[in-house]
Amino acid sequence: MMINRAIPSAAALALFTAVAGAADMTPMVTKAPPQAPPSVTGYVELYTGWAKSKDAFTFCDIGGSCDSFGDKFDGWVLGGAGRVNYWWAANASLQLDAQAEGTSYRFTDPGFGSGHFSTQGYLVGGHASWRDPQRGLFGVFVGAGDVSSGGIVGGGDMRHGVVGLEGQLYLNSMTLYGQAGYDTTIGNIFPGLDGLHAWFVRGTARFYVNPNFRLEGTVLYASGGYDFTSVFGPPPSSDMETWLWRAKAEYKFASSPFSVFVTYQGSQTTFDLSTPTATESLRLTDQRVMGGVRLYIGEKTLQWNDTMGTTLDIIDPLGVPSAIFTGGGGMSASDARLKRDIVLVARLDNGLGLYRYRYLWSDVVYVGVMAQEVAYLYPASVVQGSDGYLRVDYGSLGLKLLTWEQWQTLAHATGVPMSAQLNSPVNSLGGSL
Amino acid sequence: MMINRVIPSAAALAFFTAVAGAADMTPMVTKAPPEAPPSVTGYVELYSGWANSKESVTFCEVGFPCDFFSNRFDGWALGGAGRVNYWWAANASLQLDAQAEGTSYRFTSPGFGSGHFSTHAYLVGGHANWRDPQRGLFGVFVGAGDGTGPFFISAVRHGVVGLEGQLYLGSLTLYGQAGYDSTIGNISPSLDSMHAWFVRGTARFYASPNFRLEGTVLYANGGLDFTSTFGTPPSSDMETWLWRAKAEYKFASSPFAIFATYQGSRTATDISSPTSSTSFRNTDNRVMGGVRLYIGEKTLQWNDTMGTTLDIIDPLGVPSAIFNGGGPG
Repeated sequence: MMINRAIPSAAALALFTAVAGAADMTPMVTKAPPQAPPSVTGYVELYTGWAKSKDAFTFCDIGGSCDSFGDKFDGWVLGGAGRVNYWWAANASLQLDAQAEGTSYRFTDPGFGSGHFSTQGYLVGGHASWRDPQRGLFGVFVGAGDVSSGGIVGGGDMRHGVVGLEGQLYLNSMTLYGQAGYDTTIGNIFPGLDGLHAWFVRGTARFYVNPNFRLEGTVLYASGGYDFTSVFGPPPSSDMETWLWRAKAEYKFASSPFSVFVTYQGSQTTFDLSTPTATESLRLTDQRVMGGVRLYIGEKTLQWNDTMGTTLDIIDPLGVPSAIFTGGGGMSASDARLKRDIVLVARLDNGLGLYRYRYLWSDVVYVGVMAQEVAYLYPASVVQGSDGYLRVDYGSLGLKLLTWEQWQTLAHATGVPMSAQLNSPVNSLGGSL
Repeated sequence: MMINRVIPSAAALAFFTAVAGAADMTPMVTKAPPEAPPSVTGYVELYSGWANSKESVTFCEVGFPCDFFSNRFDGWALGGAGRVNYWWAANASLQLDAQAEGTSYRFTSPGFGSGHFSTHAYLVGGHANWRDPQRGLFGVFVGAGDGTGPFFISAVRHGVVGLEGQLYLGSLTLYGQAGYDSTIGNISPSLDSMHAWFVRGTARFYASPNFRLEGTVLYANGGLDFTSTFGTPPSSDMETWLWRAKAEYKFASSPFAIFATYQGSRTATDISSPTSSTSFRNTDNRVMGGVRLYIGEKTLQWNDTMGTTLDIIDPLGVPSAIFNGGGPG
C-alpha cells in the first residue's frame, strides 16, 4: 500500500515536475511577450505596368508671342525594391531600403523616325524609429540615389539626397503614415545651375479589410525650384511643384510568404522659369497602373507587418515619374528647340551647318551644330535623350562644341577661315563637352 | 524509510519524466532535419565608394589624320540590392533580385566650368534552380532593367537571360553563368540594339564560416546593330571585361555583415563605316564598402549552400559600359 500510495505520489510529483518543467521550458520559447516581433523581417518586391506620360511646354518672349508644344508617350514600367526591418532594441527599429523604378517609352518623331528611351531612378536609404507596436512610431529617414534628369536640367542624370521625419499611428484596422522632408541634388549640375530642391509632405492611410487584405491611399505634395547663379546679370527665378496621388491594394496569401498588389499612381509636376526677357512653363503629367508580387521573410499577416515588420518607404519628389519625365521637352545641348539667337556662321564640306546660338537659359554664345540637321546627314551621331531631345556625339563627327570666344580666338590664332575651324582636332582646345 | 525511499524514487521519476518531457519537447523544435533550410531567407545590402573612370576616343576619317581625346573622372559610387531565396520544393529554390548602382561624377571643362553628372543602372530579376545543398545547383536566370546608355545614348531598357550553376566543395564554392543581354526595342532610327553574350565565373573561399573571400571575372562580347537609310550601315564590335575581388565578414551574433569590394571593368567599342572609324575605350576602377542585413540566414557559408547566394552581373549595365565621361551632351 505504501508503494501504491507512493507511486501515485511519485506520479503526481513527476507530473507536477513535468508540468513545472514544461512550464519552465515554455518560457524558453515564448519568454518574450506574445507580440514580440522577430528580430529581422523584410521583403523583396518586383512589379511592372503601363504608363502614360504627357508634357506641355510653353515659351514666351516678354512682350512677344508664345510658342507651345506637347507630347504624349506610352511607357512600360518596371521596378523593384528590397526592404528589411531590424529591431535593435525593445522599442527601436532600423529599416534599410533599396528601390528602383524605370519606364521605357517609345517615341516617334516625324522626319526622324522612332525609337525608345527610358527614364529611371533608384534610391538607397534607411529609417531609424522609436516604435511601439500598439501605438505607432516616430523617426527619421535618409536616402540618396540617382535619377534621370528629364526636363529638369540640361545634362546627364544627377545624384540627389533626401532627409526627413516620419510617423505612424496604429488605429486598429487603420494605419496613418506621414512624412515631411527635403530632397536636393548633390553638387552643382553645371555652371549657372547649382541644383534643384524641394520640400515635401506625404500622407498615407492604410485600411485592413482583413489582416491579409490592405487598401492604401497616398498623397504627396512637393514645392521647390532651381538654384541658379549667373554671371550674366540677374539669375532666372523658378518654381517647381509636384503632386502625387496613389491608390494601392495588396493581398497576402495566408499560408504563403507571397502577396500580390496592384497600384494606380498619378503625378503632375510644373516648372516655371522666368528671366528678364522670357518665361518658360513646363507641365508634366504621368499616370501609371502597375501590378506586382512581394516575397516576405519572417513576416506574418499584412496587418501584423504594419505594426511590427517592414512598414516604411520613401517617395523622393525628385524621383517622381512626372519630375523625371520630359518626353518632348527639356534641355539638351544640341536640340534646336532649346536654342535662341541662332545664326548660321559656316557650312562644312560634309554638309553640316555651323551655328552661333544661345541656350534658352543662358547668355553664353556657342558655336556648334544643330542636332536635327545632323540627324538627317549622320543619324548614327544623334540620339534622343531621356528627356526626348536630341543629342549629338560631337566626338564621332570629329567636332567640338566651342564658345563664341574660343571660336574667335582659334580663328585669329590660326588665320584660317572660320568655316574650317570645326574640323580641327577635337582636343585642340583641351577639355570636352 | 519507505518515505525516504519513495522520495528519491519520486525524484528520480520526476527527473526522468522531466528529461523525457524535455526530450519529447526538443524534437518539437528540431523535428525537421538539422540541415533543412528555412523556407524564405534573404538580405538587403547598401554600399558606397569611390570610382575612377576614364574614356578615350579615337576618330579616324578617310583622308584625314585621326583625332584623339581622353578624359578621367572621379566618381562617388552608391548602390543597393535586395535579394530573397524561397525553397518551393525540397530541391528547388526561387530567388528574386532588385539591384541598383549609380556613380556621380564631377566634370571640369575649360571655358565652360564644372558640374556633376551621374550614370546609373538597375535590374530586377529572378532565378529558378534545382538545388542540392550538399552538391550544388543548376538553373536559369532572367532580368530586366534600365541603364544609362554609352556614347550619348539616353537610358535604355535591356533584358538578360542565361544559365547558371554552383558547385559546393567544402570551403570553396564555384559559380558560373552564361547568358545574353540585349536592349529591348530599337534605340533610334539608325540604332536597332546593343547586345552581348557573356560568361562569368566566381570563386568563393571561406577562411571561416563567417569570412568569405570572393573573386569574379566576366567577359562579354557583342556589338551595336545599326541600320541606315544613308548607305551601308556601320559595323561594330563591343567587348567588356570585368574583374572583382570581394571580402565579406558576418558578425556571428548579429544579422549584419560588412564587405569591401574592388572592381575593375573595361569596355572597348569599335564602330566602322566605309568612310570613318571610331574607337571608344572606357575603363573603370572602383573601391566600395557596404553593409548587408541578413534575414533568416546563418553563417556566410551556410547561406551559400542553403540561402540567398545568386546574383546577376548584366554586361550592358557594367560601369565601363554605361560610362560616358562627356558630362552634359
